[in-house]
Formats: sequence, C-alpha cells, structure tokens
Amino acid sequence: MTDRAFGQGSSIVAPAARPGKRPGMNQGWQRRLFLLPAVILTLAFVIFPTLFGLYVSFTDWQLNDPAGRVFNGLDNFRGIAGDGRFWNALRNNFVFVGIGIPLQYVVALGLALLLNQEIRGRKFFRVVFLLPFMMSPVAAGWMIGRSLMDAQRGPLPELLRWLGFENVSFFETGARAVASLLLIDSWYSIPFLLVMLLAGLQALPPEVMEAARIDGATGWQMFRDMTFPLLLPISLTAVVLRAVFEFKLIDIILVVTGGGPGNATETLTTYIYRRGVQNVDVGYATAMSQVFLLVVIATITLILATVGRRVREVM
Amino acid sequence: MAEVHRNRSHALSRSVSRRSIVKAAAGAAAFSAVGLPGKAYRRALAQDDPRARLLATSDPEEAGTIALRTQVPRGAFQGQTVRFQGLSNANFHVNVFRPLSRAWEEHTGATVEWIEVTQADSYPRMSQALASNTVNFDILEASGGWEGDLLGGGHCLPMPDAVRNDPGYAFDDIVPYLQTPTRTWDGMLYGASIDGDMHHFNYRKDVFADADLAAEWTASGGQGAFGPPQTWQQVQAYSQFFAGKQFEGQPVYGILDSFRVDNTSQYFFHSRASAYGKHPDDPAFFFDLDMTPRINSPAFVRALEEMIAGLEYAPTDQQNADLLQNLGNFLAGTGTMCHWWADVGSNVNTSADSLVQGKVGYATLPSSPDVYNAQTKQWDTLPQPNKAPYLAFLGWGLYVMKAAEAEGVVDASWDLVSHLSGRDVSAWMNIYPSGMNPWRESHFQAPEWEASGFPVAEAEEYLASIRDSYNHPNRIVDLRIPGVGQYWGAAEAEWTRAVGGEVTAQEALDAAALRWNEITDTLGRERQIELYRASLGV
Repeated sequence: MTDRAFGQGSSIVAPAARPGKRPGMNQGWQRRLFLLPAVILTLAFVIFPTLFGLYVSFTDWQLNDPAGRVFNGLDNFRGIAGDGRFWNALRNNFVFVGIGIPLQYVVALGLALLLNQEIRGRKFFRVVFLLPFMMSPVAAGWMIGRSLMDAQRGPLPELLRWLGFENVSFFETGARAVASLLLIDSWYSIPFLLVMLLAGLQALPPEVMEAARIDGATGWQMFRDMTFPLLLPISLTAVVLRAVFEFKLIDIILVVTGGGPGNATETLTTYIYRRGVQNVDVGYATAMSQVFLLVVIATITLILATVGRRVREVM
Repeated sequence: MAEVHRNRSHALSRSVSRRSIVKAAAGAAAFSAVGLPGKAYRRALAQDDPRARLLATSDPEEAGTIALRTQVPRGAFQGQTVRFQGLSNANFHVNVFRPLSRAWEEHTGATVEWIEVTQADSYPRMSQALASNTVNFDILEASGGWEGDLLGGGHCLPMPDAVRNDPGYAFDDIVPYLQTPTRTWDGMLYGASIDGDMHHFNYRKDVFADADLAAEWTASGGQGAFGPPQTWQQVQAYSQFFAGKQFEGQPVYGILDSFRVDNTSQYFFHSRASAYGKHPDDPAFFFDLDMTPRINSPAFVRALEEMIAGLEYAPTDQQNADLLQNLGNFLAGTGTMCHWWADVGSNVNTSADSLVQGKVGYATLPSSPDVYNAQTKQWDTLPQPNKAPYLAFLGWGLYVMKAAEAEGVVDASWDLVSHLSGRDVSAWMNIYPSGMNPWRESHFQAPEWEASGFPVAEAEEYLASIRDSYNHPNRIVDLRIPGVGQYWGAAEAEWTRAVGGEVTAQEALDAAALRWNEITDTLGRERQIELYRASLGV
C-alpha cells in the first residue's frame, strides 16, 4: 500500500482543522472518549466499592437498624483492637499460612518430582492427584471431615478404635481440630501446587540437566544446585497464590468444625462472615475486612520482599 | 423450629414406600388370614371422611389434592406467579410445600416460584432484603421470633378477614400462644402459623427401666430412685453416672447438648437455663424490663457451667455437635436424654434411620429446686421445683409481604397461605415428615397419629408434653423484638469461647452481655424497651 493509496483510499484521515480550533484538540477528546468505558468500569467496580467499604467501616451499620448507617469514627477499629475473637482468628490464619503452606509445598514438590519421572501410569497418576482440587471444597470438607473422620460413625476413627485407640476424635480439642483441618485443607490444596511445580519442572531446559548429568552430578546435587533453584521463580508465584487463598479459607472450616470447638478453628474470614452476614453487623465486619486486607497485603509484600530477593539473588 | 434429621433426607420417599408396603401387606394378611378387613377396612371407611382419607395417604401430592382449600373459582389467578421464600432443610419445608401446592396451582392457574434458603441463611437473607428494600418474594416462611424486624418494620400485609374467618382455616383452633402475641403486631394479625415450637425433654425409657443400671445407681450412692430425671440437677447426675457404662452392649451416654457456633446452639443453652432463670413471679427471662441483659446472671452462668462440665461425660466430639447431629445421634441410640423440638418424637417413629422406636419417653423440660430471683439477686427455693418450658423459636409462620402488592398477587398469595395452613393439611404435615410440629388444638388427637406409626399411648404422652409446654403458666415465650438474630448470634459466639476453654463461663457471658447492650444501643434502647415490654405483655 502506497502513501497515496493510504491517504486517498482510507477513511482514517485526519479531518481538516476547523478555523479557531487547535489541531490536536479533537484527537485528545477522542482518546479520552476511548478511555471512558474503562474509566467508568474501574470507578464503578473498583474505586467506588473500595471507597464505600472504607466509609462503611467507619459506621455502626447493622442491617436491621432503622437509623441505617451512622458514622461512628474509630469505634469499630477500637473494638477490633480489644476483640479477642478477632486476634484468635487472625492467629489461626497465620497458623494455616505458616504451617499449611510449607507442608503443602514440600509434599507437592515431592509428588511433582515423582510425576516428572518416566514411570508407568504417569498420566493416570497426574489425573488422580488432580482430582481433589477439582472437587468443591464444601464436598471435600464433608467427605473427609464430616464423614471419614466423624468420631461416632466415621471409618477412620472406627479403624483406630479397632487398633486399640480409645475415644478417637480428630476435632475434640482446639489444637487437634486445627491440625485435622490443616490436613484436610492440604489434601485439597496440594494439587494446585503440584500442577504449578510440575509445569515448572517440565519447562526446565533439558540440555542443561543433561550436561550436568554428563559432568557426573548426582541426583541430589542436581536437585539442590539446579532443579530447585531453577524452580524458585514458579515456586514463589505458587506460594504467594496459595498464601492468598489460604488467608481466605472459609468453606472447609464452616463445613467441618463451624469454627469450633468454641472458636478454636475460626479464621478471620469465617468470623467476618458470621458477624457481617449471619449477624448482619455490617459496619464492624467491613472494618475487620479492611484490617484483614492490610494484613494480607503486608504479609504478601513481606514474602515478596524477602523470598523474592533471595530468588533474584539465586537466579 | 421444627427441624428435621439430616439422615431423613430420603425419609419421605422411603417412608412412603415402606409404609405403603407395610400397610398393604398388613391389610392383605389380616384379610386372608382371619377374614377381617384390617387397615384396608379402615381406609374404606375413610372414603366418607375427607380428613381420615387425607391422613391415610403419605403421598404429599395426593394430600394436597384432598386438602385443597381455595375460595376462588378455577383459573382465578391464571398467569400469576407467586414468589415463595422458604426453608430448604433436609428435604422438608419447601420440599413438602411444593407437592402439596400442585393441586392449588392446577386449580387457580397460578405458578409458585420457590426460593429456597438454608436454615443458617434464612434470617440474614430476610434482613438483607428488608434493609436494602429488595424484597423479591411475596410469601416468606419466617420464625415468630423475627417479627420484630418483619412486622415491626411494616413489611407485611395484615391477614384479610376472609382468611381469618374462613371455617376451613379455623383460626380458633390455633393454640393460644400462636393466636397472640405471636403472628400479631400492635394488635393486628399478620402471619399464618404453619408450625408450633417448644423444647421438650426426650429420654430413653428402656435405659431408665433397666434393673442392672438401677442397681448400679443405688450402689454408687445415686440420689433417689433410678428413673427419668425430673430436674436439671438429676440430668447432670445421670450424665455423670452413665459415663463409661454400657447398655445392651453399647456405650451409654447422658444428655446431648449442642455447642456448634451456628446460630442454633443458643436455643439449647436457653433450655438449660430455663428452670434456673425464669422465676414464676417475673415475666422476664432474657432481659430486665429496662433491657439490662440477664445472660450473665448466676442462672445462665450455672447453666453454662453445667453444660461444659457435662462434656466430660458426653460422646466423643460432642463439643462440635450441632442440633441435627444430636437428633441423629439420639435416633441412632447414642445418648439417653435429649432436649429438642418436637421433631425428635415424630422422627422416632417416622425416620427410616431410627433405632429407638418404642423406647422413648417425653416430658416437659426438667425443673430445678431453686430458681434465681433477678429482683432480689438471690436463689429462691420454691415449694415445688421450678419448671419453665421454653417456647423456642416460636414456630414457622407464613407472611405475605407488601412486595406482593406491587406484583399484583396479594389475593393469590393469601389463597396459597390459606391452603398450606388450613386445619386439615396442617394435620397431615404434622403427622407425616415435613418439619412441622403441632400448633392447632386439633393436632392433639392422639389416635390420628397412629397413621404415621405412632402407638396411641406413646402419642398421648408425646402430645401431652407439647401441650403442657405451650400452656404452662411459667413458660418462656421466646424473644420477639428487632435484632433477635443478632442477640442470639452474639451470645453464642461468646459463650462457646468458654466451651473451648478460652475464658470462664462468667467471663464469656459478661462479654455476651456487653454485646447485647451494644446491639440494644444501636437499635435504639428506648424502642427496644418498649417492644420488649409489649412482647411480655407488661
């Protein structure tokens, strides 16, 4: 296409500027016009809800209060500071993230290394290991926590009783219930990490690994000095995503223990749900959500700043 | 609450087939063996009596056809859609209303759009709809306890005289506490009952009649003769006694309490505190008349301490049990005592999973020799042990929303409500699995319960305990002011912390009282005081 043809045959020609108007002005408006839908959508679905949420967190809004939303300053945040249930729930969040994710990562890495080998039935096992993640967490919680591990009629306690254990319960004390939930959550979540790590393993350059093997590196040396460092970027991504999911854990807990015994297994998400949705205390629940958001952002930032720096150094 | 057992999700269909087969077989066997027509003869007699014919069928669709009550000509509501929000609980409630309403839909030409909500979601979903002015249902199935929000907020339409005075609806047949104050507001009738509620006491007659256990009880220094407990103190003593013992080769346990944080355990806690905290000379139970909470009074503290102490003797994992687990466990033979809504009794005989048919006795909630006097701040010992049946949850009712006006379906909505709450169809819902408990005087005819497999003598005992609870002079009518769901949720969240050992019972309930005061202040203390006093009739 020649310049002439383009200039004459195309309608995309800048119109002659009207007298008295600067030539660039229409183009500027056009650009703004094209941006407008994105701006409106961002304002409607991101900025406004964020600001509205922020505003609600400074009110005493209870859904059935005839007075509606009344500004109450920092009352909600003062309440949170002295709310033992909030801090207990936050501590549980960190238990799930701090213990659950390393545990899940180690198991997922082991399985990924196994499934990356040329073993019989590899494709079958890949599908089988993915199955838990395809389930609804509610179904997983019910199937494992409320059925398999049920103290009265579950087959697992039954088996343990048969083996001579007495009063078998996986949820009788707070610590035991948290540990059991960690296991159920891990069973459900490991496949996600597994998929990410397996994809990372398969993307490793085979010639590099081959060269190391020819140079006489042992399996452990190859893992320690090559495989693991090369997997670090995708590991970091996977761990950060899992941490975000783990902070938001609610479904399995609600189904299996309902946050009990007492409030021993309650996480912030379950507490916010109960307070905001079930008890219609929207102002306080929204304030907790804002604090929670800050906690999650701070934690993820910390992970990226520390582990991320280490990854960059290694790479 | 009229709950139903989770394991009964298929009970309706199972009971239909099982009951049908048993009935047919029994009739045929009786006829061929001795020449007597048996139940088939009774069914033939029923042809002349619509109510008997209705109660003879276990098929809800057929029941809906037999019991069809409509005051309008065929096709009167052609093309109209009535939106009905109700409970989808263990396959009952809406799942029973739906087949019962098919004949009504066919006759009137209207369609019912069923909006199903879970038990835990039902109060929040209602509150959100009312608060955000997004009521997208014409009929709401709601607890009498929520009327402060629902009726006090002016969201419902009064019941038309045409329904109120309809002989088929039989308003005067309704038990007194559900005529008023429940279902009414400011003297105006709004809701139509579809259920009646109270907590009563279920116990294992066979366990308490066992001679070996009786001997052990005496030998161990147990107070009084071995038999069904009359007081909460005896309940506690028996729970301790049963720990580690066996009955018919199975471990035997005492009382089954509910501890799970799910907005329903609160009712069980109130039952435990009923005889300790409801003084016969004082109409109030939950608050003083100025809305000062009593939840942290010595009466409630004692009840909570006993519940927690009982965990040591309870089945494994009892601290995580919810109401449905307790029901399931009791029906499966775990636990000798269970305070619950009247569903336990009906499930004993209608649930395919029940292992305790013929083994259960029924009574009003246990009493206490002493009762806390909130006026004098002292424990009073009364001439007779103090009994205070707890009308927990106040039964499900049907309410026609103002939203029905905008949709032009007010008449259709009331006609459907009238059909579902009529005298005869409600008897069917009580007798067959539906999640509904007796709420009309006519529901207390024990011989009618035989249709569901209830022996008449047992039905009499069962119905007497319900009726005595409803009519007891010292009964506790459940809280019925705005924010009731918030009060319950806040308290439950606090006292379950004591169950987990985080705090003492007193500390937990002090925190609950603080939360109750916050809620009262937020909702407006003066208004709450006014409504609370009105709800107590003072």
